[in-house]
Amino acid sequence: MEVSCMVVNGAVVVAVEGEVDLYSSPKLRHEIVHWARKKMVSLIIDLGAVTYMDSSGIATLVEGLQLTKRYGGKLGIARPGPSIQEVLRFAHLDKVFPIFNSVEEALERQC
Amino acid sequence: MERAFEIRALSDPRLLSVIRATTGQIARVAGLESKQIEQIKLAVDEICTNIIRHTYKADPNQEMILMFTLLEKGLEINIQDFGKKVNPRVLQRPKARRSTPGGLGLSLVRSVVDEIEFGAPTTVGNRYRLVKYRGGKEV
Repeated sequence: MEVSCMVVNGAVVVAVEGEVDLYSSPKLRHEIVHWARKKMVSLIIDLGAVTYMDSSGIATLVEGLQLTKRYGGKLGIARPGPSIQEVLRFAHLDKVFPIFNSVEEALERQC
Repeated sequence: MERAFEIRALSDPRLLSVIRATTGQIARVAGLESKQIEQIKLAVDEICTNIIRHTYKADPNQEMILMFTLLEKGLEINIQDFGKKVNPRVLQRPKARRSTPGGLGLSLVRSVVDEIEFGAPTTVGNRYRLVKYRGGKEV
């Protein structure tokens, strides 16, 4: 799994690529916690290039959501594929996260 | 006619991707459809993750055995660990709370398989039995 970050208009886009599981999710968590500690108002997690995500990845996103809410920030998910949307639905979290069809839409609506 | 296949894996999180890939290949041989293949990969991953995190306490040098059986109508997977026995009643709760260790993962497993059994009697450790049928329940 690879993670890259880019600050755009005061928001940070965390682009994730590959498989997110027990082994790789700490790397994603590290980035999310890093930006949450900086109290970034908007975190957008771009999952467009994620091919697999399990409960470890979901738990990481939930933790990020909780961290950002603490200081009034927002965490949204952009471009989740069908299998990730299914996992979110099974976890009853599909209505908890703001989900966007594109990073551009996320930037427009969450900044 | 049933045909079986077995892999032994260390409880090393780096090997989860290998276990998923192997599961996917066997599920394809069993005739499962693409969506079902992704679902059974998720189920196996979640069980192995649970074993690594909670039964083996993240010790990467323990062993798990995955036994795949090609059924006439699908695929059965038995996953065996050799750790401390888990109370089956804890695992069989219909809906585990998300704050419970492994709760979310096991909830996902229940959502994607057609049959599931926890803690089938074994002399050592725990056994998890998963079954996915071709054209099984729609989830």
